[in-house]
Amino acid sequence: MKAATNYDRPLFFACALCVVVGVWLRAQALEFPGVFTWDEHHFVENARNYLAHRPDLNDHPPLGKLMMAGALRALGDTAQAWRIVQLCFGLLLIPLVNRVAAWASGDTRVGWLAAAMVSLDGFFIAYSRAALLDGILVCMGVAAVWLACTARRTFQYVLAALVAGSACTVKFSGIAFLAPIVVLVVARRHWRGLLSLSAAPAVYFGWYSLGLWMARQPHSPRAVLTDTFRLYKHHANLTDWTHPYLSHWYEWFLPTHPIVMRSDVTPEGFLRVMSGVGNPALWWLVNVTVVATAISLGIAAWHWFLARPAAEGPAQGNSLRIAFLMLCFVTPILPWIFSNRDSYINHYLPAYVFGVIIAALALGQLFRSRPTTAFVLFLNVMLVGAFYSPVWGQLPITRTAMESRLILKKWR
Amino acid sequence: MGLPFLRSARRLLSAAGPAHGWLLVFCFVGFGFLLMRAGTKELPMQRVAITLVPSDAAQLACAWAGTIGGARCEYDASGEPDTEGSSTRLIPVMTLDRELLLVAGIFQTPALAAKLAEPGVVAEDKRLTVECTVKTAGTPRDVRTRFRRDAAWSAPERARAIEVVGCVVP
Repeated sequence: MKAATNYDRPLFFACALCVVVGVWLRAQALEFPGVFTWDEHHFVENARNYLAHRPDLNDHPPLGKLMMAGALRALGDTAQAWRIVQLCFGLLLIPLVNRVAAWASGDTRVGWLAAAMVSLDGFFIAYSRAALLDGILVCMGVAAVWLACTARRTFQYVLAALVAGSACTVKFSGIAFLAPIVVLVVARRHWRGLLSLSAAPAVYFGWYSLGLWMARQPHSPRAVLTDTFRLYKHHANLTDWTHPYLSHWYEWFLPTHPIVMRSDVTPEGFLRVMSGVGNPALWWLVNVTVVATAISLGIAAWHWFLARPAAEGPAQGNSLRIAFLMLCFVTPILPWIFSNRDSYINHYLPAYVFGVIIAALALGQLFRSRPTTAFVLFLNVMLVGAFYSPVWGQLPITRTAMESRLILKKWR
Repeated sequence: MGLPFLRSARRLLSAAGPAHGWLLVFCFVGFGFLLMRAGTKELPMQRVAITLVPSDAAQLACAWAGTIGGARCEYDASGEPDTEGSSTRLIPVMTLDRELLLVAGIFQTPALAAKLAEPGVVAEDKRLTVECTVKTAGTPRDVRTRFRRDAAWSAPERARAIEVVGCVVP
């Protein structure tokens, strides 16, 4: 434990540096390019539609676009305003991840590790810089989970349900955050809390109805239901598997097909690329720790089953928290395993954020027994993050330098 | 090879005493800064693989008002024949990885000229890949291109103008 103390200040410094660089990478040159890239047009055009009281032609629920409409209204129709909402949620995700990791481990050091690792990962950076919905969804999901984890009173559960319900009104896949929260509340036998989760559908109807009202369409609860089913059917039929950027859920762990959202050339001939590829060192750390955690939880469950202790000890309490995080990791992937719906790597983002928290927990555990190894592992994640940062933050680089980072042809 | 290095690193860390955490951080941060800057400063020569057919020499054209290395497009911005003198004309070519380049004098490079002088090459008009060492000269805006004389102009989203240093035909 003494050896670990030697690393506390340097670790805090390194984590703070990662957060500063991560915030800078997200926020700098947000207005570039001044044209839509990747799928941005779907969401900005429909935010404009809301402001003009025209129907939303996009196939996602309205909340994300309503928030973007608010930004357009407040800041004007500029490239910065298209992306400012995503930036705010992307920045908010960092302290939220810190809180969830600290709650799960009871260790502030783990909270810092998690925040630093989320800060310096291109998967999160890219979705904080683009006018897309996934970054908003993930931030709301983590916020809902954090509120539920730390909730002790009924109104806190209501708050968690409101945020989770709002996440469902950004994208239907937000329901993946609600499921673990329900399990958590049931496990705590907090029946009032369970009842208060009904705030989630209520807020869903509220936001959806507001969207329909803004579009000057029928906005009764029945109209919300009808439109929800219409969108659900539309999504259920997206099973063509023809888009070149599609990837199956099992390909996300490599990853085989991260998406280059932007690629521009400067007058001097440098490339300015924004790729959603994650930090490879962290990506694989997540893969390894998730598998290792699943195995150790399985073993712990088996021992618990054999021993059947009368009372729950602190170690079991900690295991339950880690099991809850594993549930949060698995739930967003399940729909893609059990359906044939077209899937893209961005569908892994809600799971990956919990994978990073699990990796931080594992690293925190390693700090107790092998502090130098853990510290070097973390610094290695930081080093790889520094190397990849130009292709996350659109910093000008040569083609050769881009290719040395996006090493696989499918990554470019 | 790796082990002596690890041993030296461990010795260095022990020598640093309680400050070895800071030593590690500053080493990694310094190295990380260098890695972050790698490839962001100088623009080196670059190799590109350009795909062409011999008849392209007479078919490819661009419309643009600017000048790159003294060369201009055959047509001006309004699509009228360019009246300003230019010893070589810029033409649009595609690389194997589908990047649009504007280049002047590629058919006059010794390697490609020699290839085209071989018997039957022009007559067969088969597709060739030419590997060139190039320098980027700029990214012209509002360029229009066409790949056949009778085709309509198209306005590509982006194009890069290059200066050819040398080519080989593998």
